[in-house]
Amino acid sequence: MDLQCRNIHVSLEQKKILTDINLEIKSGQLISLLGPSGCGKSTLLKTIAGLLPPDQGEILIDGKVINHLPAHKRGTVIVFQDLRLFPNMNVEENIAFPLKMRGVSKEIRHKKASELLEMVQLEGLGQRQITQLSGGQLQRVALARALATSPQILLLDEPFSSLDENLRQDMRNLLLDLHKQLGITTIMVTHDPKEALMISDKIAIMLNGRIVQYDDSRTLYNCPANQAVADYFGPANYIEGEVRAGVFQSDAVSFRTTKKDGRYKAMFRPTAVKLSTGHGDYRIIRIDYMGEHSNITLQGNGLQILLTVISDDRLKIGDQAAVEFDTTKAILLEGEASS
Amino acid sequence: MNTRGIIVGKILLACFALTVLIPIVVILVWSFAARWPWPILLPHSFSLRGLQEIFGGYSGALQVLGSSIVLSLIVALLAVLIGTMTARSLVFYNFYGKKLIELGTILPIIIPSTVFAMGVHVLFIRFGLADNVVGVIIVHLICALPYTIKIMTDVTAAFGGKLEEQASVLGASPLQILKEITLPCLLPGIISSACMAYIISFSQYFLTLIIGGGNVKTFAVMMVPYLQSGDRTIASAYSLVFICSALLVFVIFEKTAKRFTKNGSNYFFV
Amino acid sequence: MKNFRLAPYLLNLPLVILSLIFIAGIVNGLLQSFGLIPDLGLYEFTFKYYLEIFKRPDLLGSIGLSLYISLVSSLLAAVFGVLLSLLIVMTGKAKGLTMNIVKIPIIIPHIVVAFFVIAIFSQNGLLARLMYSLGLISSQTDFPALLYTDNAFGIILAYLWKEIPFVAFFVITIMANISSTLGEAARNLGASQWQTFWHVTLPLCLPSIKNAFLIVFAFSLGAYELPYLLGATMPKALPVQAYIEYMHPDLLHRPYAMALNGIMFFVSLFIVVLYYRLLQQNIRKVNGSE
Repeated sequence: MDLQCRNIHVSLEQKKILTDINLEIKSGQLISLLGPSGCGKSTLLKTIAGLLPPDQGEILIDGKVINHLPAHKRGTVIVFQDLRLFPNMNVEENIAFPLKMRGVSKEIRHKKASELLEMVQLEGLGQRQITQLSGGQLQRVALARALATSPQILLLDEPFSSLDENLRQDMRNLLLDLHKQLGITTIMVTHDPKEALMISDKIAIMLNGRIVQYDDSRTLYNCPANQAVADYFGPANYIEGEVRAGVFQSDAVSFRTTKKDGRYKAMFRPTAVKLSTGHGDYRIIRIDYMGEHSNITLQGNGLQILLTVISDDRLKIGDQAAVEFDTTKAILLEGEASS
Repeated sequence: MNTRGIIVGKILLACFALTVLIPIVVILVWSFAARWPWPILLPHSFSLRGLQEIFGGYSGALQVLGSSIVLSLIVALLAVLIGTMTARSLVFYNFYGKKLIELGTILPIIIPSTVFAMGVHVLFIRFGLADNVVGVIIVHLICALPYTIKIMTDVTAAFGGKLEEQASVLGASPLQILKEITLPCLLPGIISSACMAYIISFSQYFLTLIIGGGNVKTFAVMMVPYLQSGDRTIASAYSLVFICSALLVFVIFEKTAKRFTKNGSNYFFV
Repeated sequence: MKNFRLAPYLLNLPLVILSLIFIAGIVNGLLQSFGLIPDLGLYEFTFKYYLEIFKRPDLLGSIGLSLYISLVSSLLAAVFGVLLSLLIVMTGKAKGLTMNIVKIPIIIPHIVVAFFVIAIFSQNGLLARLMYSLGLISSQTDFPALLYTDNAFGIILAYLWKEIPFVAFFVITIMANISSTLGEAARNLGASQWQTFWHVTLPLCLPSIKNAFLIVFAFSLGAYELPYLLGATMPKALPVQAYIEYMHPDLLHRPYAMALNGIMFFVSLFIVVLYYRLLQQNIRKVNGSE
């Protein structure tokens, strides 16, 4: 099912939360809604699902406006961050709940619930009480219950945030498998950029209630619309300079470019900068050891440069070093006043 | 906490428990005492005289007990219903006059019911609500509501709208949500409020006396002359019957609730 | 917040109706206390009934007695209720049998508690018989007359039996909560048990404690049963005196009854204002911490 949000504006208690949201998701895509806490991501999910009415704008599924449909008739199911499993029912009853609401018979409910339990790798746990399950298991039950609605749109609100990293990876893989198997149009809200890059077909970056950029992972990472978006995916080095006659010039680096003349900031990710020891304009002022890799911070030329290298014990604070910018990976951003 | 402190603490708690339990044991024993004149410490002979008086049918105590229980059950039912409705509006909605409603819920607790009773009596007479059961139910309800509203507000706020939201996106209609999610989750609060409202109504003396006139006789009103009489056996027997009937009603409330839920937790007796 | 506009007003309807009945009763009582009783031919607004009460020593005695009973019993109930709560939290018995015992006085009506007091503390009661059997006294009259006295010993005792558990019940949830979280942190920072209680737990429980105090104070001020069953002949507590005036065959006593009620009302109103401002304080505290 295609999903489209057109000119959506949403306020809560006189405060504007979402401004001019336009989003188009093709049938079967898995997209991420990425942004910092409080930027309105959950609000957008609730609006799509019909739990919050928009001030303005339309929501369309397969080209048909569904604003008038109440929440329980939309086919848009949410898996909430706090899971919200019903404490007065066991695992199977939770999963079968949507079917019970539609009047499906007991035998079929039981059969469907067993199928879903298998799909989320929880076979045989149908009779357990909610209180007897681990965090990861609860997550799967919530997912299975959502799938029991045979949803047109699957909405996940920071679904894995309460799990530790290993479990998160397992759940992401499960989600991808299910998505491949069932092909349901899915929106996942997350504040983890790596997660978004990993599993989404496209990512929508939200800041302060607006969608700032909506592209596939590679485009978003390599061609961010502005510094805020770029910062979201991790730290980067920004070198201010000018483009004149097809060449970007600054104190630290110059290269050819097709951009128009003007002031720009050249952005280099930490991995786009290489270190060569020996004589050079820079001095190592900080080393952050992270296992396989280390982050090195250098000072020189009036700048601080951050770069990532494979850990090398020979590097010491105070060492002189030279830096080589990989200009093929440079991203030029409009030169705003330094933020 | 150090062990000596804990031992002292437990002893003090035991003393407290004794101050609560001793009077009850006393009336339990006295109910079955045949005679217990001064100065004997423990009764020499026991009899069922006290209980026979009550249950014997001459005093009409049994009928009064029955009708009192029914009256208080009605009050409890209404108090829980109205309490749940009001709690829902306070937790989920912002509306004009919300502060006034909140004030209205605590008014009957802060302003004495005797002031209210003597003030409203004349009005009730004019509207035909005095000297009958309806008027008594209304005033009992007014006294019980602040408690049921408070309990239901706490319980409703604890669940918030979250589970209901989830049920909604899973395809449950508003009516289905009420039956499958809201009521089961509110059940502990419902039982708690029902017990509270019941005992408030069942214990009322002055209110029933003045609004009910001589016409509405509840067990509490009927008891008082016996409590003031010199016959301690009868007085103890009446007190015992009061307490036991109240406990019985609570147990029935809980058992009824257990039929509607699969969890094994106790609601009133934690 | 949901958006169906009419719903809250419909939900509140029963409460509104009952509150209006309540307010009508109070207003009618107040009007009568100011001499406005058309049925008795009194049409003139006047303070004279109040003024006469303040001139009569027996009625002033009633006011004093009621305030004395309420103040003493409520303060003692607050202090001991908090201590009981502390005891329960510290010994870790906040659930189970102990809590069930705390709940027992809630289901016992005041009239039965009055009987308890008589059965145990009267000159013919259990305590007297115990002292007799121990040889400490030789006849009923040797046992002090503890009940129906000016110091309202029996009444206060009865109120304490019910109200100490009530306060404890009211306060215990929040006390257990604070003790386990902030109390733990305080002890971790070097505070002793007592310091933790005095500087952390108690101040944070204070709003709840004040709340409970106001409730029991207002209740004991206006309650009829205990002073009626355990009170001395003179002076009678306010509610008892008011009822006597109310039932007086000479209907012109009615405004006096209402004025006595009015005094109880105004004292309670003062408490409502106090409570409301306490509520605002609580709200500010909660919002301030967000």
